[in-house]
Amino acid sequence: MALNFSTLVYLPTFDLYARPITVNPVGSQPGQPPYSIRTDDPGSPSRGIYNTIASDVIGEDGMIFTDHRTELDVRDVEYSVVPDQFDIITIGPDGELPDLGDWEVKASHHDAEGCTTLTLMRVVP
Amino acid sequence: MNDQPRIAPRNVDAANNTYALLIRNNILAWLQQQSYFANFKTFRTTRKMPAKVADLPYLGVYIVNEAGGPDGDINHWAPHCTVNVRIGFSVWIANNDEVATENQLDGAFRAIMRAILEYPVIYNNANSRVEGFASYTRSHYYGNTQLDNESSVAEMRAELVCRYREYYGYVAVDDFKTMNFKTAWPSPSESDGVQQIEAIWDLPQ
Repeated sequence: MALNFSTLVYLPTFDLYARPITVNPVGSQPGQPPYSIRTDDPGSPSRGIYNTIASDVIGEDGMIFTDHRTELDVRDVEYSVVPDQFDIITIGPDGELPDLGDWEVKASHHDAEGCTTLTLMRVVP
Repeated sequence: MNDQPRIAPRNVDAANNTYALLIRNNILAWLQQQSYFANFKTFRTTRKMPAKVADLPYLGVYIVNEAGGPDGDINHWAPHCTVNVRIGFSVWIANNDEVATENQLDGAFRAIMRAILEYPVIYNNANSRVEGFASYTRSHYYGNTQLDNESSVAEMRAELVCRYREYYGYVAVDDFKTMNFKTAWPSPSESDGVQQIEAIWDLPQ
C-alpha cells in the first residue's frame, strides 16, 4: 500500500510551520462568504505555509524592478474546495509574527502528494 | 559645433555632451510638467538603480541607443551626421484590476506622445532641435515572464526615435601664419630664365 504522504509528511510539517489564514473565495466559490476554518477539522483555523524569495522583474532596456515570488502551500484535505485564482487570502498576525495583509491568488499548482502551492499577488489598497 | 575638449564635466551642454542627452533631458523635464505624471513618485534617467514598490508610480526616460549616418557626401567638408536617438520610456504602476491597469498604461503612453508631438517644445528646442520622429514602439508587461512576482505591477514600455543632426567642425592643429606666393611663368621647367613675382603674406594671429 502506498504511503499517505499528506498525512505522514505534510501534516506534521503544517502543524509546525503553517499560520492561520482567511480565504475569501471570490474565484474558487463565487458568492460564498469568507471562511477561516478547516473543512476536515472545524475546530481548527484554515492555514497555509507562507514563503517568499527574491524575484526581479526585467523592464525597459534591461532595467530591474526588485520584487519577490510569494507562495502559500495548503493541504488539499483541509479544504472542501482548494483556494484558486482570484481568491483573496488574508494572512493575519500569528503570535509574534506580523500581519502580512491581503493577497490575491495569481495561480495554483498542485502536487501528487496532496499539497497545492498558491502563487500570491499583493493586494494594492 | 562640438569642437571643445570633452572632459566629462558635471554640467550638461552641447559642447561637452551630445544632443541625444540634451533631448532626453528636455523630454523628461517636459513630461514632469504634464498633469498625468503629477502624482508620480520617481523619475529616472538611467537604469543604474533598480526600482522598487515604494518608487511607484515610476517614470524612466532613457537613452536606449543611437545610430548615425552621413548627412550628405561622407568625403566632403567636415563630418556631418544625421542621427537617430532611441528614447525609451518606462512607466510602472501597481493595480490589481487588470482592466484599470491597461487603461492606465495606455493613458501614460497617450500622455507621453501628446506632450511630445503636439507641442513645439522638443522638436523646436533651442539647445537641441529634433527634426522629426522616425518611429515608435509601445508594449505592455505585467510582471516577470513567469507572471509569479508578488507585486501587482505593470509596465508600459515605449521607444521613440528622434532624429537630429550633428555637425563636427575640423579643429586646426597648425597655425596659418605665412603664405608664400611665387609665379612660375611660362611653365615650371622654363621659369628659371624668367624673372618671377614673389609675394609673402604674414598673417597676424
